[in-house]
Amino acid sequence: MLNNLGYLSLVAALAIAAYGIVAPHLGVRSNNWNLVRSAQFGTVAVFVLVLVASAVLLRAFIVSDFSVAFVWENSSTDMPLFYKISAFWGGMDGSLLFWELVLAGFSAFVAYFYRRTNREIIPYTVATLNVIQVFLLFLLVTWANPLAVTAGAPTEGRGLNPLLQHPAMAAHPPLLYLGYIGFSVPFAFAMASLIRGRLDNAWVVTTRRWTLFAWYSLTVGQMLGGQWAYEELGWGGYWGWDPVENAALMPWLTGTAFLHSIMLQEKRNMMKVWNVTLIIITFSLSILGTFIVRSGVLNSVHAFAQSEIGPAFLIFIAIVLTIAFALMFRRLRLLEARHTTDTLLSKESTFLLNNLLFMGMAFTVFLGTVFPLVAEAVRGTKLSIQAPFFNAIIGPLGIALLALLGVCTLIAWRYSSAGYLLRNFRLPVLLGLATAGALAAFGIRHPGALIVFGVAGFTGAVLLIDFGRTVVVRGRQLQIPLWTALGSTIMRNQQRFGGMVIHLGAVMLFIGLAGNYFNVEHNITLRPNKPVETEGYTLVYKGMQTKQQRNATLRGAEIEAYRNGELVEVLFPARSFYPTQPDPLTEVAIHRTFRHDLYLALASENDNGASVTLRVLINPLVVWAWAAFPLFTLGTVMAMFHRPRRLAEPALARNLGLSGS
Amino acid sequence: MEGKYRIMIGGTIILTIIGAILYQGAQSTVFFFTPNEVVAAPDQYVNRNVRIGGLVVPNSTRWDPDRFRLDFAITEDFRTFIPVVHYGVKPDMYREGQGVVVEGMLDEHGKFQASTLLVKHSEDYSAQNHAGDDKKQLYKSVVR
Repeated sequence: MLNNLGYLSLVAALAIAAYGIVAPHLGVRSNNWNLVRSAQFGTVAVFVLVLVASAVLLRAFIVSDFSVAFVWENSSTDMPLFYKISAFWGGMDGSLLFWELVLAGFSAFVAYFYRRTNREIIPYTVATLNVIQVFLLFLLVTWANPLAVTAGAPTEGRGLNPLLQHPAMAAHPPLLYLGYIGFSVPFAFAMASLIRGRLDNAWVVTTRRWTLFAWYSLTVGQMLGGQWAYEELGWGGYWGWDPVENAALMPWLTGTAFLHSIMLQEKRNMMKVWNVTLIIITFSLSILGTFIVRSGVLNSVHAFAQSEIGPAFLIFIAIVLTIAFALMFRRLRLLEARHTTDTLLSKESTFLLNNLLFMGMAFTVFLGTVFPLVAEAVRGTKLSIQAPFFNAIIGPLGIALLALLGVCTLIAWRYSSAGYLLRNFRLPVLLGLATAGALAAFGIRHPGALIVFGVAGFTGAVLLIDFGRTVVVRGRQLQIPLWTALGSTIMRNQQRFGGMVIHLGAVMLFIGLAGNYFNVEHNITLRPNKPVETEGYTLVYKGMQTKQQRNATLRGAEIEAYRNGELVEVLFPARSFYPTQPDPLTEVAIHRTFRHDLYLALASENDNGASVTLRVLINPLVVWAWAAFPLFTLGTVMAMFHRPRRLAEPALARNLGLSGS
Repeated sequence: MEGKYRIMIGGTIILTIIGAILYQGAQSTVFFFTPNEVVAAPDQYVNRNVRIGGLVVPNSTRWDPDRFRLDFAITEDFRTFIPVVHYGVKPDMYREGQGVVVEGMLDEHGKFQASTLLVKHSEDYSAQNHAGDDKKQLYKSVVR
């Protein structure tokens, strides 16, 4: 009964959202603002209805109502409540509902919060957001119904895939979806601007925070995914260029380019065509990403066509790309910049180069991911493109970006003289070289790693010196102590400080990634109480143990790890057995230091514990990569606070790209 | 004047990236074949890095934990077989009768030297009994 109510709510939401596509257009055309307002109210109605349906599904999970097929497929009574709830997005149907719920909420927010500041384009923005919602609701109501009824009356469910019963994996899909949905908002605003023919910078300025929020969600979502892969999959790495990983990386790459490129539009009225292109591509890639992960196309290209959902996604992407680019070309003349980039050695040029590098990376990942799928569809040959392909191209491009980060921060707008460059870059370049030199002196000889560390030193120096200089100057000018100057500079330059912190996080991430050059792996068989030395550690196997942990049974080896004669940690590499699943999962044991991770994975228990085989890995600098996370968070929070200062009338008009200039 | 420099540099970057993609793509693409395809024309596959997907033949496994050496045979239809050897730990989920993907090279003696061993299992996580299934369907479901 309740479940039927939920389904009917989705049907009603679909109808209202469809109305909300047409009404704003008609309303503007016939100057009937009641029509437009009804569509705005409709977004709230849609949100409430989808909320009802979501609540129904959530209730079904919490009480383990297995008459709902989706609950049966993804939950079981013995699961902790936390995972019963996260099972909501553990499969296609529920995750589409989650997506629609958040999108409906964002749409309602946009329809009301921006109705005065963007009066001209809000109707079209609402209409565009409703187009996306109609697509999702249509799928939910037809082929991806999360409230469909189970055949029979089962009393127990299949249970959530144990791989997903990990905190990082519970948070990973919602964060990614928040990112994808977040980018829908600037996309809708961009479309509205194109439809209306109002090509000033209003849409960019309005959606800046959305873009930042979406970027942050995608970033953290992927970091959690990497952390999960590292701890749960047990192969010893956190990124494998798997198509599923690439699916989320592509929109992140173009989204990061977009996030930076809009600053150039805000400040200098440039890159308008780039920005519209980037947001269209970012949005399309996020839909493509969901398609790649959820449609079954990865199991077999031919399998995906057996469900209707796969083709529906592809058709939707095709429609979006066609209409969006058609709109852009129609308004191309209005978009093209009045100023061109002044000189080569300018901040503007580095932004352009930034876009090129990110697009290059996205294109590479796209080809590497999609080409095998196309080849299989067209010629039936199955092929895979291996990690070396991606590493060989993305690696150098990434290092170029890291260097560009430093260059862009220091270089001047419009024009930099040779003298200016020499004066400002001299110290950071020296520091970068010194970093590389010092590390080489310490015995690190790997050329790739030395380049990364050297560039990281250069860029880190640029970031700190640049900001530090501002603080010092401010302290001197106002005759206040440095600490006060620091606080005051941060408060008056939130965006710049936030950006600097995020960029420092990026530097840390690169340092962490460079650690991969030095990964070592050994397979070791241990017998009880017989120490084995490896990579500076002495490992002693004490015996096998069985532990019970909520809904899983853990069976693992107790390993004492010694370094320099002292017991450093007792580790428990194990396998976990879930009652509903036939195969066990790896639970790795990690001893983490600033220099490296000692990573133990249980390969096999031999003769009932008479000996045990472990994979022992030393992964240097992993914690440096994870350290980027708090920096990204702090930087994003600071940058969110930034409010564009109120400009004087003529400056405001110029900034918004209106008449004159 | 400056505009020309920008186009030149931008174009060079783009062309370099495309060139790198094509070159690396050719280097890193690994083709996937079935056991029957390999057995039909073994000379084509000698010393060529490929992937083969097949089912592990029951009673064909020899595992030496001290030398980390795993020997087994894979098949597609239980009529032709390819012997495989892999050095490294035996994957958790390795089971006879289940699907695996091996990557490596066929040597001159007809033995497949696997550098990588991937154990695939059905996306369907329920513990079903596959005994009654058509073998070809089983192969298709776990490997392709």
